[in-house]
Amino acid sequence: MSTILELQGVTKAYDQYTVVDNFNLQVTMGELRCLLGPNGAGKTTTMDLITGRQKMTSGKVIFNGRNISGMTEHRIVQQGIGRKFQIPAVFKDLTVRDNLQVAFTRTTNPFMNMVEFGRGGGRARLQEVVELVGLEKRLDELGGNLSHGETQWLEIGMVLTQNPKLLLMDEPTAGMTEQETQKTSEIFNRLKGEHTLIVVEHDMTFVREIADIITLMHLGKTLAEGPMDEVENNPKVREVYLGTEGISDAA
Amino acid sequence: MSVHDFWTPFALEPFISALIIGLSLASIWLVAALGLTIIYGTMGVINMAHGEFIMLGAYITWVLQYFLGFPWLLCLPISFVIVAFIGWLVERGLIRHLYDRPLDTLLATWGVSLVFIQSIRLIFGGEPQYIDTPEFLSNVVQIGFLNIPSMRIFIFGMALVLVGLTWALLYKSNFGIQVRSVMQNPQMAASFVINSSRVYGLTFAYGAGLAGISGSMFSGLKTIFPDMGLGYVVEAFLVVVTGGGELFGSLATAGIMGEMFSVFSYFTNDTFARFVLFVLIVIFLRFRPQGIFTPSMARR
Amino acid sequence: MHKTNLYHDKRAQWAVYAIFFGVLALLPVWMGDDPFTLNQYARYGVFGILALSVSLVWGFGGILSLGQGIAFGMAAYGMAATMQMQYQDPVNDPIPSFMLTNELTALPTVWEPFWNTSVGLILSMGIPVLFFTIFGILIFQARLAGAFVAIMTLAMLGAWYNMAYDMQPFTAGFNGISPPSAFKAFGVEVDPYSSMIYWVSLGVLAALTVSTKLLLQSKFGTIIQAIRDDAERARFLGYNVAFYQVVVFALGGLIAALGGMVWVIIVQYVSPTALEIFFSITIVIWAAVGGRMSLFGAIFGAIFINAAQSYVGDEFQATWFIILGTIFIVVVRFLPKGLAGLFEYAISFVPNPLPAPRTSVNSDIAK
Repeated sequence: MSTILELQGVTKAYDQYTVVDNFNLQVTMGELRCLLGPNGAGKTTTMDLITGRQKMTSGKVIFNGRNISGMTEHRIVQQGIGRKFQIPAVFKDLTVRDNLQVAFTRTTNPFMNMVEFGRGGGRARLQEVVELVGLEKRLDELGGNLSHGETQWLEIGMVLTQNPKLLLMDEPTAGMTEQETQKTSEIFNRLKGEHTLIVVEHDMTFVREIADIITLMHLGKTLAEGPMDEVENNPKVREVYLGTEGISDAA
Repeated sequence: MSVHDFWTPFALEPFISALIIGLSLASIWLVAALGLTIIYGTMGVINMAHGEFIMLGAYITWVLQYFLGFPWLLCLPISFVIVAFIGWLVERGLIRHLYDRPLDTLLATWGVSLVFIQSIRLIFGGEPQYIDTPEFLSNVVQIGFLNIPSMRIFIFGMALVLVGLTWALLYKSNFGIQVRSVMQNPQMAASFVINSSRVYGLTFAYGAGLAGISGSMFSGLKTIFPDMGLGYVVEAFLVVVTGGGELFGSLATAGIMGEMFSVFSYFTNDTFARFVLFVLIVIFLRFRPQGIFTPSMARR
Repeated sequence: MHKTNLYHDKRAQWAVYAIFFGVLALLPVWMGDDPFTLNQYARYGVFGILALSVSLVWGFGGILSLGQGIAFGMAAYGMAATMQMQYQDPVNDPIPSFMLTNELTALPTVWEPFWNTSVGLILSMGIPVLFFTIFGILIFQARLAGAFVAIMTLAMLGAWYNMAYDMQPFTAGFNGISPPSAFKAFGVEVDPYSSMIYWVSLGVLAALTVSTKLLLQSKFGTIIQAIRDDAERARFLGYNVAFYQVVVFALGGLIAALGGMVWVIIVQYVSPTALEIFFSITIVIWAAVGGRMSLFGAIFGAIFINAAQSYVGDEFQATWFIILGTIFIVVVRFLPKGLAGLFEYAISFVPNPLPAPRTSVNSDIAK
């Protein structure tokens, strides 16, 4: 199995403190990796550094055999990385249909898109995604009128429409009902293999359902890594979370 | 127009005069920008009616002097109070409803400015008006080879006084603590029983009052007319934005801009100098959109 | 079962355009062909073009430019230079008279290309677009947005105003340039007091409106609206946001520039007033009152406000501007989508009489 994403000594430091500290990560093609850790452990920052949203202080990100550190955000995305934000972000004044159409990026060139009138390409993909996330009946609704759960679905749908090799999901089930969460885990389980996913999540039931390998972050570093059971029984983890119910409580 | 006409060669004495003019210009821009700095810096509001607050200050001075015979110096504090009150009304009636829509504030205050300009034109007519200043501010002070109008020295001094007062108000007074805490975190401030809506109202009023007093001062320098505000507001905005909405940012920016303008226009001419200055500011903001002093922030 | 508001039905929108331009085309028939009236109407057409540019850039692109006058003014000066040089004679009278009064003894180099009408037209259009592209790159690469862009465009406009005002030997300064003869191209003279001027103005307005409408219905149009809503989200879908913004900004410049060219053909005059801050913000008011998020709304706003203004007449101008300012404040405060938004709301109560469009996912109806 080949490595699709590799972080080498990635560091993000502000004047006084270091948010991500010499962090290393290797993700295998087709894997679903969960990134856990308490608030401030550096999970979202790590995603920011991978996608170029923040500039790293030092270190290297290798994606698909290519050094992507220092590239602008849209270039990184074009390499095949999709991202769902922690606070769900959709285009509020566009319909669900248009949201998904914008996400279907056969070309990102403005001049090419001037002569693209939405016919042909992408129809099958949109149909597929819409059914997957269950927004068939909401296609003409404005993004801003969706419920919280639907907004999450739409953003997941947009990232799927992009069809990236690597999907970064920042808290995809936040604000979802139990059934919705259940459905999300089904989808994620279907996606892995074909896609590679990195998921930041706090819902441990959900993590148990989907994760192959867990990376537990603490103060910007890897505290433990491995399958769920192994991480839970790791003495270092027990030490850090002494007196609590373990990582489920911390997360 | 030959190159020779366009380019003035260097000579010491006129160059020093240019530097002095630069200082004077800087103080005028600073006074014009001060109220805007407070309003933009603390509330994030781009007040397009600021130039009209200046204009109102000038007209209040003129009315007080022309109809009621008030001495010029007494008009300054009165302008401050009246324009501050008008500003407070504008904040109450309009701006407070638009705090989460900064772009709309800009547009709405442009509407306010239109209404002010045309109301004044309707009441007092469009022709320029003149103001009598006290004897000691109407003469010219001679220092060596320099002839400096005493009004310009007065404005320079007043600029420093107003910056000092504003600094004391923002950083030394109880009100200033409230302003800054509301600025940093409105919800948190509310939990300490700070009435943020009152603080916003008073801050806006204070900023407007500063514009009023600067209008009074400018009335001693130039003629006053209904759309005089436009002549100040663009420079004032540039001072504020380049200074990052900080009091000392505005102070430094006004100084640098004034001197650069004056030196450029010494070598070339006013218009060309203004053009070069504006272009330089646009390029500067390209690289430091957060202004000169504010530390660079992480991207959203 | 389709509940789409008729307002959003593309077929209805195109029908409205067809009716609107049809009515405008018939206007000379009803109103007679009084040359002064036609000239007046032609001017309204240019105001419509300017509002169109604001609607595209601000309403759909989310970029509040207070500097549309830069493109308008530059193009107007270019056009005036072209028309002036059509009048001059290369041998006997090569130098425009205002230059002679400014003691110029030779035609300035920057004026030379304007001897050729085609080159003059290309420059009038191309230079504003080039300037907006460079200026746009400066602004949008720095990820400036919102009020920042408004202030920068305003400052730039102020700088150009000063240039036009002060470069007297080149621009005739305060007095402005008034080319003595009407514009001629391809053997046709466009008399500014004839029905031809009305057709030129209306034709350019209609062509630009249809092109812009088509542009907005393309994927490009959807993407710029997406960027307006949430630039960061669009960026993380792989779009070079700054590139799109520069293109929109430059296209807005192109539209305003074409407006400036038609303007000079109509009025045979240009002065620094074309670059006044007041004028540029007034364009924004037209678009805002009519409805910036609707091309038709913006154009309608421009024409309606100007027609009302001339009806009120010059003697009540101050009162008129007080009313306009007040309307503008009310619109900004309560009607961010302008009159078009009000109409959208009203018509949502009327059932859509048109047959339901195809209901496939990718159906391009119901935008």
